[in-house]
Amino acid sequence: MKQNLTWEACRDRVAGFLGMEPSQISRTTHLFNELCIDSLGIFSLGMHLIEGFGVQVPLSEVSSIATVGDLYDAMDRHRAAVAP
Amino acid sequence: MTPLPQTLDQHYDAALRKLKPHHTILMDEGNPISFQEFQLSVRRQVAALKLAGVIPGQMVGYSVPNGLAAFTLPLAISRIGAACLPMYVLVPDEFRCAAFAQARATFVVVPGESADNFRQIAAAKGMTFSVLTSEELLQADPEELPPAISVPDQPFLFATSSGTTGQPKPVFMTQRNVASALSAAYDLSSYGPWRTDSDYRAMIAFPQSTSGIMILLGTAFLGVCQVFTRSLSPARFLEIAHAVDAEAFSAPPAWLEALLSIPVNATNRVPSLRGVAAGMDFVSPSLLQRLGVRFPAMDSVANGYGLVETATVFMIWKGDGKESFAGPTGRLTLCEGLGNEIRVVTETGEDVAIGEEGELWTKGPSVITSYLGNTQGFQDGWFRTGDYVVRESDTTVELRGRRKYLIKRGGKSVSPLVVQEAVDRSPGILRSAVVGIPHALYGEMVWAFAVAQPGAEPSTASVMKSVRAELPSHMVPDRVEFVETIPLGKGVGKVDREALIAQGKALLEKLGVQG
Repeated sequence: MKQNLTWEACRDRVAGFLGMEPSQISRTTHLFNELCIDSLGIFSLGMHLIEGFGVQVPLSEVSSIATVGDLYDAMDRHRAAVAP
Repeated sequence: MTPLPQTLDQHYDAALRKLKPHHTILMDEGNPISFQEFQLSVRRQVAALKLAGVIPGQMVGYSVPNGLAAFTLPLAISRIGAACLPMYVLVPDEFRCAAFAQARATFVVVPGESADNFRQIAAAKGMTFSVLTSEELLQADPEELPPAISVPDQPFLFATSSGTTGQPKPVFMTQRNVASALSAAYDLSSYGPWRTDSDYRAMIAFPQSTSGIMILLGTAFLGVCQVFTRSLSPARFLEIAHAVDAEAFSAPPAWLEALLSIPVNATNRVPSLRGVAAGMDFVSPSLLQRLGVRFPAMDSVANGYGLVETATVFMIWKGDGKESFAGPTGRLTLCEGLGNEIRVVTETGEDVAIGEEGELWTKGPSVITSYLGNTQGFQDGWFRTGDYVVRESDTTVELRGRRKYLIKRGGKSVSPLVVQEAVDRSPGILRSAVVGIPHALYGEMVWAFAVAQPGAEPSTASVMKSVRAELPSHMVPDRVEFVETIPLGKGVGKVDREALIAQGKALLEKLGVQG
């Protein structure tokens, strides 16, 4: 069962993957500098989010993602491509 | 200092000088076997083999159930100056016949009930070995033990190694290799709870495996009473251990894990257990800590490290006190007095500095000098183990795992053992296994497969929180997959990595993220 993609649901799932509290994460939280996710870790996080929301972000867009908010926005743009 | 024995015969002769005839050397299903009975079995088998025509240099294959005959047969074969190929009774007859023929066995010893089938297979396939029965060997009139004629460099024990390439390779251990392995038992028996008298009873699983034979004979010749069961049931193992007040277990980690799955009752508590000698695989802190809870008096552990090419154990980790069970359990030190040497080297063959990683190389009395007709894996007299370690001193290393199992994630090597230890320490985790899942983008992803403790509900979040506090980001699992059980392979039950990798690939495909 896929979840509906909302900012709160996305934040909670990112926190779950990182073993953090949701309150520690905001839209401006930096994936590399603050969460210490390496470049491949972004894809691992992405896989975790795909499983939760069924939304894939094309590889070509991943390089422009720096914050958790960027990640949510990219997923939000592509949610329309997902079958209901 | 007395020189260590250089042949199996020298070990046996030392035992003949040391042990009294009434000494209980073995217990079969809880029934004591005296050293006098043991000696008689050797002498009967020597007489029967000579009568059958076995001569020095010939190969004798054997495959008999756990029991006195199985444990004295290698001594009888050695006394004649012949060589041996032991095989498990559970292997299909056709396969055993083929293995005996491939090893050019002249004689094969099997139980009477199997003899006719072996003869028929041999006749049908044009195999030339003669079949003897284990019963007829024990019915022969015993003769005086002949003087030892085997020499240290003489090939003695035929075995097969998967080596560093995964391809089975035939190995011929010399008398010196085998003697060295028995001597490793000296190191094992010289600390913790181990005592060398027959009131000290050690329960051994898989006594007929190559390493089992070495441990059983090595410690038994020192005076430890080795207890075994003919059954392959963990429940039976515990019942016998309880009945004889066993103070130690010798078993691979998968067997110890199986023991923990048996519900505790009044006839299998084994309150006497004080020590565990493991081997054949990595022993995790999680397993040791659970054993320490299951057996409250257990306060010491030894994990032997070695390969078929090193005649089994040549390095050892010793943990003294329950606090040692937390690890690191992969800290290995050369067994004392054996004369083996180690190096830790880069891929270009240069020695690494203290604290750096490299491949473990070794040479010495325990180590074979080549495979049969194949020197791959050997360099300038050194055997390349294929295991990655951190060099701590000239005699001590920290095991990182098989080179072929190291996970190559984005150009960095990740030790699955280090990740596994961290995952095992996470709240609510019973045990785990960590493997590399092939992926075009990563090379390999780090996946942890974890089993939850009964009643606990660990999550990806709880494991990640714990693991991130311990490991650098490139070693943090890319995924934590919760499973009911960790699949185990055949044999001594090592983790079935291929099954886990297949599971990971299937999930990547399902998610549409194969890379």
